[in-house]
Amino acid sequence: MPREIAIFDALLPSLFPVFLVSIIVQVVLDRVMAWCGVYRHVWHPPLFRLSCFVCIFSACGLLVLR
Amino acid sequence: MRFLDRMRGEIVAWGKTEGLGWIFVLKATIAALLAMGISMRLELGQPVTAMVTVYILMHPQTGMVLTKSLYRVCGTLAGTFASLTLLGLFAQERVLFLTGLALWVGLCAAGAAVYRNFKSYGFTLAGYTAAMIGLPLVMQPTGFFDYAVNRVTEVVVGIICAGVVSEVVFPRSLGDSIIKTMDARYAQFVGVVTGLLSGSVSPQEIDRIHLHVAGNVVTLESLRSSLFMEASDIRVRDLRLRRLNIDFMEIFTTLHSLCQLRSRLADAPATRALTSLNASLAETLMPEGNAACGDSESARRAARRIAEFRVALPEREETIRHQYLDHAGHDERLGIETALELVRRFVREMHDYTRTYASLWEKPSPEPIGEGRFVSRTDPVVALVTGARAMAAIILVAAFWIASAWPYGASAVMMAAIGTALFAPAADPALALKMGVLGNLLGFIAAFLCKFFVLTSLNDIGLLVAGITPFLLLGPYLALNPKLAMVGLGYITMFCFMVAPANRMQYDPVQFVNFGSALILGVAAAALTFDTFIPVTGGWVKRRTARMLRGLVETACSGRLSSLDSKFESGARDLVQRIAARPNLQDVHDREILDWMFVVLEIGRAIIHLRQDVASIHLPQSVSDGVRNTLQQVTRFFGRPNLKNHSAALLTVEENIEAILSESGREAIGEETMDVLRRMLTSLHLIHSSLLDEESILAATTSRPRGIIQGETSYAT
Repeated sequence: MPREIAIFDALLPSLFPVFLVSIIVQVVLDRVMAWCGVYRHVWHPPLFRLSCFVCIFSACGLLVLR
Repeated sequence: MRFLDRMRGEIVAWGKTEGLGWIFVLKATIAALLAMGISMRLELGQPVTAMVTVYILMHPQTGMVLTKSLYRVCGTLAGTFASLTLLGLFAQERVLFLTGLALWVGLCAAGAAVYRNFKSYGFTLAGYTAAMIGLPLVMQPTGFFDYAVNRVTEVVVGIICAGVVSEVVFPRSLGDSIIKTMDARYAQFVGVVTGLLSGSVSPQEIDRIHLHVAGNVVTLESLRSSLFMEASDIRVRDLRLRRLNIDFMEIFTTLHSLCQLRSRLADAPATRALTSLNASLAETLMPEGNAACGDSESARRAARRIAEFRVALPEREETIRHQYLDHAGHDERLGIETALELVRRFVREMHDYTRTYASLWEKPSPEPIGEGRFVSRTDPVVALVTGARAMAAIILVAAFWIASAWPYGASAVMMAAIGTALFAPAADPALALKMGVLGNLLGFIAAFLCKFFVLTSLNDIGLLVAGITPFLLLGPYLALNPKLAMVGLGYITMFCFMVAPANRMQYDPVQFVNFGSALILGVAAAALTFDTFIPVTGGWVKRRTARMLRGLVETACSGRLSSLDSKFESGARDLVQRIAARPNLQDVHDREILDWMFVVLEIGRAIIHLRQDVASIHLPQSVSDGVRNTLQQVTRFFGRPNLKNHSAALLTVEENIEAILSESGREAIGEETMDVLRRMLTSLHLIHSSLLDEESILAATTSRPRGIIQGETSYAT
């Protein structure tokens, strides 16, 4: 995939749509985990959430730009 | 060893009080420096924007930052598009451009006044981002796209830094603070209710209690509404929290009606029996006078005691009826019946509240909970005036800019827009802006010292951070103190704008002083406009508030019945929140608003019950016609409270009571209908006695011609 994509002739890094998609995935995952009660077994839930997001974003980014 | 132990104790104690504040200060500073560093690394041009964003977003509670961020991104984008449109249309025409900008900022300010919490925040940001992006570019419109992209990127960097830092570094969850608020509320609540029931509270205390209730309810609602970004599982409890808030307001309305009725019945012989009933109710709530503590276990015990009281209640009522009703007059009999009905309702509401509170932290049960929503209420005219005020401030500064060809006029207009947007939601915006100007002056001096004496001798990012950190720490520290919060905000925005750390720093004292004075003049102009142009704390706005309160009764008379009670209760509390935010009443107008609130709560609630009863079964024509008439007359009276409408309303209520009495005297009436008729009678009696109350504001309003209510002079007072 190209490094940049053109939207209305403005060049955006192609990681940007990936970022948006990762946010959506993260939100869904977060709801599911809250519903299952995963956060009760985690030491630092916000840090856990952030790490999850970083994992999702990096994985998607690597997949797209590989 | 002993020394070390004591040392540890001291540190733990410090960490629980002062330490929390310092953690917040450190977090804000870390986030701002991080935002600055990232913006510099990405070569974004003005890292200041990211820093200022962080400071505007940082809040001692975590969830609030994330929620703010969401709305802030939306607001920023809307503002960018607005400035794009304005520049595209009027790039050559400064007058049209500035008028358009003023209009946009005014619209956003009006929107911010209509909505609450973070929606309001989105509007605020839409307004001032437009000013921040559009104004520096009036001179070179061709650079718009790159400039806008850079500013938006900076804002988003700031948002992400603030969100991540406050979420990951020593998070303080919103759920915890809601739990704390609820527990503190319950602990106070039982004491307050017992005090009110025993009648040992002075009138000033009663005012304070009801204002405190309003403030508490609004605070909890704003905390609750930002919960949806929170990681903790408190989201599941959302429905219960809402229900608790509505129930809380209803309890105090019922309690107020009960206390009013009791004081009106003062010299009747049955009062003693009522007082002893109330006393034993108070005893049930708080046995042996020991202070209640806010935890679910004590709430569960209280709920059990109230349930027992509720079971025994009908028997006690019978005794009171037997003792007094036979040799009581017609009016007095109605009064006693009404008081008993109110006691019954109050006990039921208390029972519901304590039960829901006790089960708040348990697993969600299948037991259905009634739907209820907090509905805020804003006067559209006042919101428009707020918008017009912001517009006036910007037009004022812009006119000065054009007339004097001031080279730094654009900065002044920008700061006026930022000032109006940021400080307008405060309880007393004029005061907040003055504090903001003070903070700006402080920030100006600090920035001068920092930029020309400290930063000139440093030359890499580490030293830059070390050089500005001590100055940055002061801002959030000031903001922790509620009285100085606005000074802190003014200080830190000004400091960041003035120091303007960037990859290529500019050290130009002349430019520094010119730019700084333009910013300060901009905010000062905004402060001036807020102080003179129909001020929020002035009489006109407060009289509008009183009118809006009366409008609630009209809503109660004609609104749709489903969820009407939560709409009514929350509307009344929402309208008085500006008064509730102050420690005591400011002037006669505040007094008037409060008096109207009491009358409106009492009559409006009775009307809602009346309508619910009418809707519950099929009633004879004469009765339902009478009720419709009553609603019409009461609506008219609250629309224009004067002597003529007052006596008309009173007459219809009396006729309605008569009609129901004669109807219930008939033989062929079912048990159920009889019950409904009896409840309707008590509601009507409550309205009647409230209309006749000599002490309330109704007497003061109707005994004089309209327009010369005490203290009513001109709108500027």
